Amino acid sequence: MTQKTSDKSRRNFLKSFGVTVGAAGVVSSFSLLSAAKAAAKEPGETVNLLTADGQLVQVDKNQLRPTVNEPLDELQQRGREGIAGKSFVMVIDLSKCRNARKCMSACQNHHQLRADQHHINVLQMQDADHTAPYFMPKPCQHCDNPPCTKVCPVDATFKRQDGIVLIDNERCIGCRFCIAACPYSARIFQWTEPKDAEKYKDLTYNIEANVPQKKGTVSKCLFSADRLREDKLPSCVSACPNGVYYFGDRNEDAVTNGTSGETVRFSKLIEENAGYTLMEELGTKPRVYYLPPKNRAFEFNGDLLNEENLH
Amino acid sequence: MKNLSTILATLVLVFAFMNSASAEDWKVSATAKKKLNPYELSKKNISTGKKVYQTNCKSCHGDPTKANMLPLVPAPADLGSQNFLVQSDGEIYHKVKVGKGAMPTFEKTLNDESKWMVIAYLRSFDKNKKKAVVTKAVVNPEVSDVKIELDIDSEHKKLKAHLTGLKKDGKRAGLEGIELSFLIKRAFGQLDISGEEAYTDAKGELLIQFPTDLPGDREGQVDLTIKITDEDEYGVIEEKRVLSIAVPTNPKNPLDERAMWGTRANAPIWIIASYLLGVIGIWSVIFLVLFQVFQLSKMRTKS
Amino acid sequence: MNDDTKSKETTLSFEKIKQDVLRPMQNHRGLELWIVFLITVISVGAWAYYVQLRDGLGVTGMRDYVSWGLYIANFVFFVAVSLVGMLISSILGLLKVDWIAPISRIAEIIAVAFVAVAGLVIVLDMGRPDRVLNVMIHGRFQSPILWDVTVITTYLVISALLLILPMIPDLAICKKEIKTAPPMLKKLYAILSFGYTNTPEQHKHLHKMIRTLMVLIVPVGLAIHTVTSWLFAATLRNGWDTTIFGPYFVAGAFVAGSAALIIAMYFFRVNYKLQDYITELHFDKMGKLMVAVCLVYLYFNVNEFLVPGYKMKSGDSVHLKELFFGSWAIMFWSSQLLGNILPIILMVNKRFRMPKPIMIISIFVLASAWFKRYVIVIPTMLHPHLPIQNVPDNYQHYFPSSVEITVTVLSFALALLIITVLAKIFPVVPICEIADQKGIDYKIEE
Repeated sequence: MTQKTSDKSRRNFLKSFGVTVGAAGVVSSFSLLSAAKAAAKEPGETVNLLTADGQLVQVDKNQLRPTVNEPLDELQQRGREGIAGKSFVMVIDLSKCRNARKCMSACQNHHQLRADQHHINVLQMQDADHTAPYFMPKPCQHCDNPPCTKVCPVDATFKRQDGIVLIDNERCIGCRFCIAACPYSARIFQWTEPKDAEKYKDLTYNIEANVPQKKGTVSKCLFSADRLREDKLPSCVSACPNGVYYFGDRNEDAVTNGTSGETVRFSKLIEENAGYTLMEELGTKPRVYYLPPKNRAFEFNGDLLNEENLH
Repeated sequence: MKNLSTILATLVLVFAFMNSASAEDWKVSATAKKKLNPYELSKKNISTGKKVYQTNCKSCHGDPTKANMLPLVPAPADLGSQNFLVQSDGEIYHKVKVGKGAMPTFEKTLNDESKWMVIAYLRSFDKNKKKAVVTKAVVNPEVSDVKIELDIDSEHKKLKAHLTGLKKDGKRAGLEGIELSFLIKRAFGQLDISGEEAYTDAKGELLIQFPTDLPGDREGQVDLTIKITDEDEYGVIEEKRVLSIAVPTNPKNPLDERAMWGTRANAPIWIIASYLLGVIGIWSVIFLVLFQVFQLSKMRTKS
Repeated sequence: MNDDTKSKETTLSFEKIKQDVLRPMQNHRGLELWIVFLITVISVGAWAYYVQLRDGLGVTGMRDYVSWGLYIANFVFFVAVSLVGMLISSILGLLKVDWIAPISRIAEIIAVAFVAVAGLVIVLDMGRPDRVLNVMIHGRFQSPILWDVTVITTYLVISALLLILPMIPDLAICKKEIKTAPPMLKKLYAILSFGYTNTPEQHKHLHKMIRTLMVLIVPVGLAIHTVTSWLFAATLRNGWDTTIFGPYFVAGAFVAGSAALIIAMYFFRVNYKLQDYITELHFDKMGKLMVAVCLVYLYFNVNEFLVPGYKMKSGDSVHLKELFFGSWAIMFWSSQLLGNILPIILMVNKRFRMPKPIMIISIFVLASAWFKRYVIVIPTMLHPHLPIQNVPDNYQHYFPSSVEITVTVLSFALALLIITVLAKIFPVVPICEIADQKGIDYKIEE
């Protein structure tokens, strides 16, 4: 357990510098050092990276690239099949969300999105005139009756056996019907060349992270399917400093908190906290559960734009 | 403070502007400072405090005395350092309660007892007060080769752990009052099923009810790890087992059914049939008409 | 344009019909200029589309929330107008309404032009038009888009056949009569007349085929607009999540189509000097037909807006308030008033069913129909279930960009070009059918 959590803090550490370390996750110190040397010729924005063996290196940001080793066909095939026997669910504890937005930036790093593109978006909600406002992180709900995959004309968006709804960038025709169909506004469209398109253009497409993003296609939250394959929690879940997210396998009836690493029974967590799903009246059967924002440990600050209020 | 900075620098980045002001800025009233921890520094309380610490504090502050906190600015304090522990119980309690800046308030997230337990845990690192630690009346004999044995009652789903150590006289003796953790492996972590009071009895035994509704794999198997919760005294002592007493699950593949939301291969039969019948029906009439049009010129020759 | 030449009671002979109809086909006055103008507009539009292809759909006003904008509204409009072919030549034809004979071909020309461009508009809206074939390769039966693509293609083919087949006797005449036609066109007449000489056997055979197609186009025509409405009704959005969208769209399409047809009738009557064929009677009848379809459409509008407006469900209420009193109120109410209510009130009066007034009313109806589509598509996208937050300011509003508008103008220019070309190379009024109707004997020589 201690081993596990110390791994986590290291990951948090890397995250805090806004660096995505690869789909494969392992970056050898050798390649990093040579990258650092190359960067020395052309000084640009540098980042500090901790290597697997504990060395601290400084690397030019432009030298960093996710590593993908598998060929496209294999990535596509396993991406479409999903992970057998799993049934992923997320639980979001609204009583803990104080709009730190670490989830949003971690997600944008992982999926190569600009700062105004959201796979996950922390919304300021107020259900009725005199009810209390609260912050609500909103990823894709990975519905079990997904309105988006129903309308896709080409099987570009689809649900896998582990419950995750993915998008195949290689097939999407950009009709945006799925965006119109999604009641949660969870989908975005690449209206122009995606961020860093030039840098990532030779990269093999990884359907499980939907990177590199492509102009004229749709993108959305994927529960970091590439990380789940390595038994890692989704980027947003790991990045949260306030213990908002739980993620796990419903078949195992267990979810793990991304901040504390604590694992709890999914059914008990939902039962004891009166967990609910978003807009259940639409019959979409979401896989993202919310715990109501009661007994909040902080004052709600309504001003989203004020940076000081974010902590 | 200088010492702290050096530790930080070796590990992470040099925070040249190491924030030394953070400690002074807190406004803690004199009365608040005078508060004393109403709970004794018993082994049990320290161990409870450690659990609370690991869930709520560790993600930022790291492990006490290890200085592996998150590299934030201002840096979270090493709560096991002597610099920190010079403060009174009341002062620490107040800071946990109200928070400041990036330090969240735990007024409502942690109940009072948990807050004091954390303080008890932190005090266990205090070199000045360590002597004051009141250990429980139970004193286990000095032992070596500590091990955990497990009996499984499959029928009632009960697990009995037996914690023993080899005494100097060569006999095995049960170790009393030691907290054990029963951990079930799940996809992203270990599920603790030990319950609240998982301490061994006088014989060194501990009986645990395995949750009757916990799912395992298809055969009902789960991976269990039993370990001594606090690794400080006997080191890492653990026992791993594969149990077959969980509820067997047969994961349902949602793709087995034909559905409106499914892929084309999983489309409902009726919709495929209506599409194909419609297209074939209408287009065969179109082709028939086209064919008939070309008959027109033949009719000319006949007339 | 003027409409002064009153249609006198002239005895029509076959020769006269032939000459009256074929004359405008041989007279090119001003035509080249008009075609050059259209092609210029299309070229500018094509350049705008090239910019869109190069830089992505970001050059449009659309963003993540309003992800369907002008193009889709325009697409719905084009599909709607094209439905007039089915209404006039098929439904009324099957009901043996005989006054439609001189205008049915104009209706079919409009249908072919608009449905062809509608298919193109959908491609213009796609983020990856290079992958358009994926719809054939990977098409999902559950998606309304596959059905839409299929139905639009089918409708285009049947409409084209319904344009050509009844024209075969006329083309046999053209083949012989239009001596000045370029060789290419002569060859086209020769092929498309299928050696028709109006033998009784041929006549019977041809009309059997036409009747088959007329029956066939009814379900396809209903399907094309119903499926188009499902693009919206299949979602869970406020304003689209309704069960009457299919018939609502069909009724709206009849209104838009009739208006387009009346405008075209007036244009051809005046410009092609066809006052003897497209008579005041036809405008009068079309006026009555339009009142009828407008009433049906009004009935659907009442149901579509009054029922949710009465309940004011949480999601709907924001949407409806914006439509009724908010920033969409002007567009919403003017499209309802000018495109529906006022035309009904005016056109019950016989005076307003005269060619010129009804043409002017129709222009308003058609424009309103276009804005009505805009009001159906865009406000709903601006009122999602969850608040629009943490996005740039321009995500929260929508106004079409200049590129978008130019590409949309292209679609209109293209439709007009198709109509112009079809009306130039084909007789816009069926010669033989009118002769048949008037009981005039004629012979078609080879």
